[in-house]
Amino acid sequence: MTVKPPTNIWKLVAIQALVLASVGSAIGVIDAFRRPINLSRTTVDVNDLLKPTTPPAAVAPTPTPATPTPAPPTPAPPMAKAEPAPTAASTPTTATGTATGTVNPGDAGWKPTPEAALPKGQITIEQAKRLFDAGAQFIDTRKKDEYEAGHVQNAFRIGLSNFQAGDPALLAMIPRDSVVVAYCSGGQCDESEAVARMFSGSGYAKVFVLHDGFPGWKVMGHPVQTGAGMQAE
Amino acid sequence: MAGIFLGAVFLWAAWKKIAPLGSPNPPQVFASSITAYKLGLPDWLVTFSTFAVPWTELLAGVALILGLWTRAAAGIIVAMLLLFIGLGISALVRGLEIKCGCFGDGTLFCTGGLGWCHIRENLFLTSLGVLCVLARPRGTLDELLGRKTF
Repeated sequence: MTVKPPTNIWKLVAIQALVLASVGSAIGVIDAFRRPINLSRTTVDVNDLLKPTTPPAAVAPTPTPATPTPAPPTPAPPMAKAEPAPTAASTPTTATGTATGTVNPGDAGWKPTPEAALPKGQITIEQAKRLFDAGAQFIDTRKKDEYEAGHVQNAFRIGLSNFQAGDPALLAMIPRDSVVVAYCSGGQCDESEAVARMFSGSGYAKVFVLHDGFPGWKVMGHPVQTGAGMQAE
Repeated sequence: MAGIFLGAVFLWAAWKKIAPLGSPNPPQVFASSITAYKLGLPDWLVTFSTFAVPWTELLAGVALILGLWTRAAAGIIVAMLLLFIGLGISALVRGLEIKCGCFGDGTLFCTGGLGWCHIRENLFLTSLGVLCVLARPRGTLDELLGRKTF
């Protein structure tokens, strides 16, 4: 038996939909206050970490700040704006500009992105290398097969999805006062920023993103390794 | 059946984005998925979307499964799916290499990063939703309770 629906059925449907959406939104707003999220990432200035340390020999002992900073193994020269000469894999000499996002590492004309062009919290390849030398923990945020094909030496692989159900177990191996450098494929890849935000939310205060990603790191001839490494489940 | 399937899919999709309820990580991850679309949204809107979308999905999914306010719940889901399709096409056209974020870290039919498969997947779900909106729902609570909107 067919029943002719009332003529104002769609009006009723619209009201019901509005009620459902409103209740869902209201619950969402309450949840947002219960567990606030971070949409931006605060971090220290990388140049503060990379300042050469004062040799302590002839100076009277003075109280030092409690926060540990990674000291370079040898006194480092002031950080230069120019990047070191890249390896033979790229051809940098005549190209101008950085062409970020349009020219990929390894392509003719690619140059590492200079510091002045970087968003806050992102670092150059040279800065990343200095942090690497000082013992920073690198985090590869790419897919498993990309990681195993080559990654920064001793980098852990932790993707955004590994944070879904809580902090991944691998974080227990990274002290909260560590310097963390996240990277992915460079260019349009956002995964490293997202993972960096998760680290910040988990209590890490010194988190950076390598802007030019693994491709830039590799082209500059910095230490890489292949294989399974350490990966979050 | 279409309603129950669609409701179950959205209930699962919502749960993947908000559970566990005691951890800030699931919404944080979903917020990252939203910002990855590079829509230039203000922070308050990203935060609102991060929480309102999954909870609304959850309510609509439960309503569809129970057969309560079926047309309205399906209508909400169709509206959401059309929005997701539009956002997905926009991201693909702009060349963004991102994850869909549709089901948290889970997948339905399509795997890997956002691609045309996800658009087709959403179109399929939209068709089910439209069916639920237009067709007279049978064997539902609405029908049992004699509600006017069935």
